[in-house]
Amino acid sequence: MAQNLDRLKDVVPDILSRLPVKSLRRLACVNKSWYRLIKSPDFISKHLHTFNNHMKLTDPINLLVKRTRRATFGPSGVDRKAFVSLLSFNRANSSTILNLLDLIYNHDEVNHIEILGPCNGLYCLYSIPIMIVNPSMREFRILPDSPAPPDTYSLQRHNGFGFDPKTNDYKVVVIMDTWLNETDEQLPWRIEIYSLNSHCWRNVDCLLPPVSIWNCSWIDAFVHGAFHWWAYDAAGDLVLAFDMVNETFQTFRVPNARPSSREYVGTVAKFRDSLAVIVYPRRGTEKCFDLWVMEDYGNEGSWTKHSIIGPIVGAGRPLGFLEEKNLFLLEDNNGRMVFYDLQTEEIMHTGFHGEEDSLQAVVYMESLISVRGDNENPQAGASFFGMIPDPLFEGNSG
Amino acid sequence: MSSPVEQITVVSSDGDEFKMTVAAAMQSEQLKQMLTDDSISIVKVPVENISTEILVKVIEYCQKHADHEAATKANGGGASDSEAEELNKWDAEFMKVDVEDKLFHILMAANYLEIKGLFDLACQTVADLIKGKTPKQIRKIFNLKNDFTPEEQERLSRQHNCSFD
Repeated sequence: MAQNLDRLKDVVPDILSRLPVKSLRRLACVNKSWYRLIKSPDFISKHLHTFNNHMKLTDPINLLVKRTRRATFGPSGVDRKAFVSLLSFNRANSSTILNLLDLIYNHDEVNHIEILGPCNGLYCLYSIPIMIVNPSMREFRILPDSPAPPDTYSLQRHNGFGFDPKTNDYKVVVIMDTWLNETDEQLPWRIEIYSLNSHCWRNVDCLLPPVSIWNCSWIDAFVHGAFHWWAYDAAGDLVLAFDMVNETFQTFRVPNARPSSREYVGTVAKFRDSLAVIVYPRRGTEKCFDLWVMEDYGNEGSWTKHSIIGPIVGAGRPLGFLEEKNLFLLEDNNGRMVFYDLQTEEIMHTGFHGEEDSLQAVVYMESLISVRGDNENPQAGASFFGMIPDPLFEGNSG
Repeated sequence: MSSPVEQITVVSSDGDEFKMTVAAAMQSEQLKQMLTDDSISIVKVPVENISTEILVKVIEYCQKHADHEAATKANGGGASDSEAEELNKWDAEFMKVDVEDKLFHILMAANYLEIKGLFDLACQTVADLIKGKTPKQIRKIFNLKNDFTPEEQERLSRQHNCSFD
């Protein structure tokens, strides 16, 4: 060994922060110093930022995607099954796909699932059961069902997932309507929060503002520490926000973004760390997507029409943005996922498809954050921690 | 800055002197600070912990990237995709060194001189190099000792599903 390699120690974090989680788990066995480094919160944070942001244009596009497909499964003859998969797509137009749910449990009975996140590399998969997953660490935690008061039922559920930096906690929030079994009388809406740190649900004593939440959210909008839903009241469109730290609601009126509520659809989204709204026509063989951005978060007067994306032939509904690659993700009229390059206006067909209007796509991120939580709670009952078996993402960025 | 300096001289730890254009020197935050500080008049800059062999490589990188920047500016702004790809290819070739040590020395030189592009490139190259290696091989490369007790090794192997070899 040549001299002066001592100072190499100083740059070891910079080197290691560029490695995928799979490698780091192995390298934690090199010596105690490397073990401590890889487990340290500072390094975990550095790695989260560095690894997921150093992408070159030539790197493959890695997504966590969800779709439903029709087929006959299992003895009950369920004809629709939901899949959550890791999709890696590179410019040579070839892709590899790994069905994540298949590795966790038998999901033949699952015909609906929602992906929330990523939040620092953690994803919440909302179905029966609800799970918080870190695919790169191959860890998942199954949550107990959100509690319901006896003799009641719910028709609507709106979910959110986010991070509270004050308590360093990941939270799942569920907003539910509540009706009495006996009389069908409606009670106030309930808000329940699951905290990863405390492994349990608790009721939040705060009133839902008098708005209606659209029963369709497929683009994650956790931004500025709050989760957002597209909603409305008699006066028009608005965004409902739930602050993950203070656990309070706020509403933001949206300007006349939709020329007509019958012909146009709106959805919340995230764009460059800002709250955004995408408006587009319900029907048409060629669509333009209006992107509105709340330039100054919280200030209703700061909504700006950022750009018009398209026109895109055969477009269906938006799926979100992949900003590292300057891409707009969408589903076409036939349920197929398509990428639209915001700079070159080039369209890339991925060949990935599901039933119409069933797709969801979010960026795949690697992270060293464990879903074990800060302390093991023996009362965690139905929640348990498991490891997704190998292999996961052989080759590619792994 | 009003001085008409067009070149500076850097001196390696072996005592050899090399001329660098100002544009190339500006790739280094350290050198850039010196150049833009009017209170310092530069004659020769000693870089004590960088040998001749490594300094030559570093200067080559700086000059190439300075040239690329100038060409991009002349073309009015953004580099085209093909130009960026060409530079990436050059970078990849540049990092192909015959001996691992050289790679580490380039990394440390980039760190010392604060050349961000070269530092990122070298870190990534080292990361790619060690990605598939076993802990045993890593220890050899970085000259590290395995200081875990056998019990600790046993526990970690189970948790991390890895071997210590």
